[in-house]
Amino acid sequence: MISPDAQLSIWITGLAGRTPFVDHLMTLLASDFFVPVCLSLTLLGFWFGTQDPAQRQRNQWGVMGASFALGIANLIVWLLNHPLSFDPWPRPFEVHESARQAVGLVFYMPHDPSFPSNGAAAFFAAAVGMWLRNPKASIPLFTLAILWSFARVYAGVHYPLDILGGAAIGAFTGYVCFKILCWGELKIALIFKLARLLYLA
Amino acid sequence: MPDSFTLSYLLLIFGSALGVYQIAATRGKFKGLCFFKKPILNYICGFLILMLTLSWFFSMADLKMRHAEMEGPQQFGFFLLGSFCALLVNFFLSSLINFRGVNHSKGTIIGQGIEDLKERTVFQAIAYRLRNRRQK
Repeated sequence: MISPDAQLSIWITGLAGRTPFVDHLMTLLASDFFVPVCLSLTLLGFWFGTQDPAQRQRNQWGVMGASFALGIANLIVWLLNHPLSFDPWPRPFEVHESARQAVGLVFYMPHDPSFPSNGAAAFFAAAVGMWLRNPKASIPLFTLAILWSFARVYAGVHYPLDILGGAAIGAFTGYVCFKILCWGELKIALIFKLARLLYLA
Repeated sequence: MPDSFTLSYLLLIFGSALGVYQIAATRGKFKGLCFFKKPILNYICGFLILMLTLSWFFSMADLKMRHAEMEGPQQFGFFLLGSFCALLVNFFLSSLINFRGVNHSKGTIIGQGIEDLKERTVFQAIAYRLRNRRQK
């Protein structure tokens, strides 16, 4: 009996190899560099690229929240997977033939734990961190997180449940980090003051 | 000594961050950070730098293999380094290019951080701040 999660994974990985253009696109999106770099550049753009000082400050708070949440989400997944050795199931390509073919076409075979997805946790944490300060600015971050997540399932390295688990951890972390930043508002204001001296904010 | 992939990654971050700074400077109307006086030229310049850097790196890099030398913490460190270097180069180049170019009104308030760069270059803002301190 195959779980609905595995069925969905088999169906999505079965799409690989049909259209070379889509495979190339998924290689780019699933890669270790494209989405992280685009997401970081988007945050950098939000930090500087606003004319109105009040709006800019709101964006900068959002960027700070997003970066903080991204780091903490990464740390939580690392703690779960390494010191706690939480590794509930193998990666799809280790079990299903369609996923094995997909990973050969699109990606490489990673051997660290599959659940929860580290990238999904980090990118959704950043998106939620930004959303709580500036919902409009979080749209590109959510888009990148969703594209990356789909590409990783397409590549056969994650089950949809890995992504959902990562996204849940990310959303929770984003919210908690937002609250922590609100509590430490005075100290953060000092950081902004220092950054303004150096023309960084 | 960093290997060639690490250097390529650093160059990717440097170039793309420089492009983003130019686009952001145009959007934020920071005349003191722009390379060109006309906003449209500045947009094109930023967009070209960004696109050329991204397409160079992603057409050259082998994305179907694991780059053990560039895991998450390393990526983060090199991102900070590359984007900070790009910011310094942006400060320096825009100050040189706009040495006489940016018209700043005498009454402009200074000491508002990046807001100062709407009317002045970084060098002009620093000089103004130092002069003011000496007068006090």
